[in-house]
Amino acid sequence: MTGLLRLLRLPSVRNALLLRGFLVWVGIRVAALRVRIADPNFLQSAWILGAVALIVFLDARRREEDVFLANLGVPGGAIAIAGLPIPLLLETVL
Amino acid sequence: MTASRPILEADGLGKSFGREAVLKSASFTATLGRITTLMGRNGAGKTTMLRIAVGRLRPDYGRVVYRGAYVPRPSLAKMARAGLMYIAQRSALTPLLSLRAHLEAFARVYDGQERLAEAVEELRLAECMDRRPGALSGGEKQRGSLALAAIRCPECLLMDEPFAGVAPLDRPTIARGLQRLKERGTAVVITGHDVDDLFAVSDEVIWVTAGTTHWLGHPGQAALHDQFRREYLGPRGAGGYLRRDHGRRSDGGSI
Repeated sequence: MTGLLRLLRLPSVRNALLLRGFLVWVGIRVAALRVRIADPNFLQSAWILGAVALIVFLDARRREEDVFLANLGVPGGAIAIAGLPIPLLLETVL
Repeated sequence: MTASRPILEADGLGKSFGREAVLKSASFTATLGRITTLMGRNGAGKTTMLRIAVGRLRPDYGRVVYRGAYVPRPSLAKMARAGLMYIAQRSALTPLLSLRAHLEAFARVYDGQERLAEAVEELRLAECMDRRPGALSGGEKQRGSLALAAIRCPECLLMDEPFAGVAPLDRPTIARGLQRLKERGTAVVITGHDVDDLFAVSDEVIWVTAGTTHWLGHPGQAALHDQFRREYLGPRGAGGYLRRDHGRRSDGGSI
């Protein structure tokens, strides 16, 4: 929790992760359409959100942003969660 | 050898990548107010040891003890909240932010506003504050990373190859930055090949070779170690380093 709160105090990083989460979600939804999943059920939505979180985390790790954030006490889990708000809202609303 | 208890102990580390055993019972310690240098050839396992100590890699065996407590699954974020900082081989910076944003983030989280201005001046960063890491030279990135450490004032700093890719003009600044941290009581562990620069700042040298580690003592003692001279220092041997080492003898006295 402490790590997530620290991340929230870093607007540039927080906003970048929010945007990435949204873009990853768009990509996954487009891919889902190609396999004819236009309206995911609850379980499929959960899988989509899990994939968004994982990809956001792995992308941060690839860029070694997670080292900078870890030095600030922000764990990988907080990075993954930071990518979820917009996809979560969209999965709920759509 | 200091009587101070180490703040970080990485003990008996073993790690293989595929069939290749890079580390076989390698160890190092970090002691408050001292700079410890891990030296060894490329591929000896220096970076691997640091990465294991901060949880970036899982060892096959071995243990990490931080602040006197065994850490079963090291995590950099958790250890950072307990006073540790890690600067990876390229830098501690992210392409996302300008250097100014990096320093301000650290100052905000670690209450280091006063230290920020001092760090910028000491590490000569005023000219590059608004640039992102992609537009910084190797030396600027290392100075920027050290500035983060100066603001953070960690109890323990692990920095991988602080002098790598750094122009000669920047090396004294990096060295001063490391010594400043040591003077403030930080336990510093660094790695590298730049013998002159590393010997000039180190309090003790650990030689990483054949998957294991050998504690060689003070740089003056290391420079006189037969096997280390033969297999790592090369023809230059001991003489050059002893003279440059401010005339210190291996027993700590003056020449």
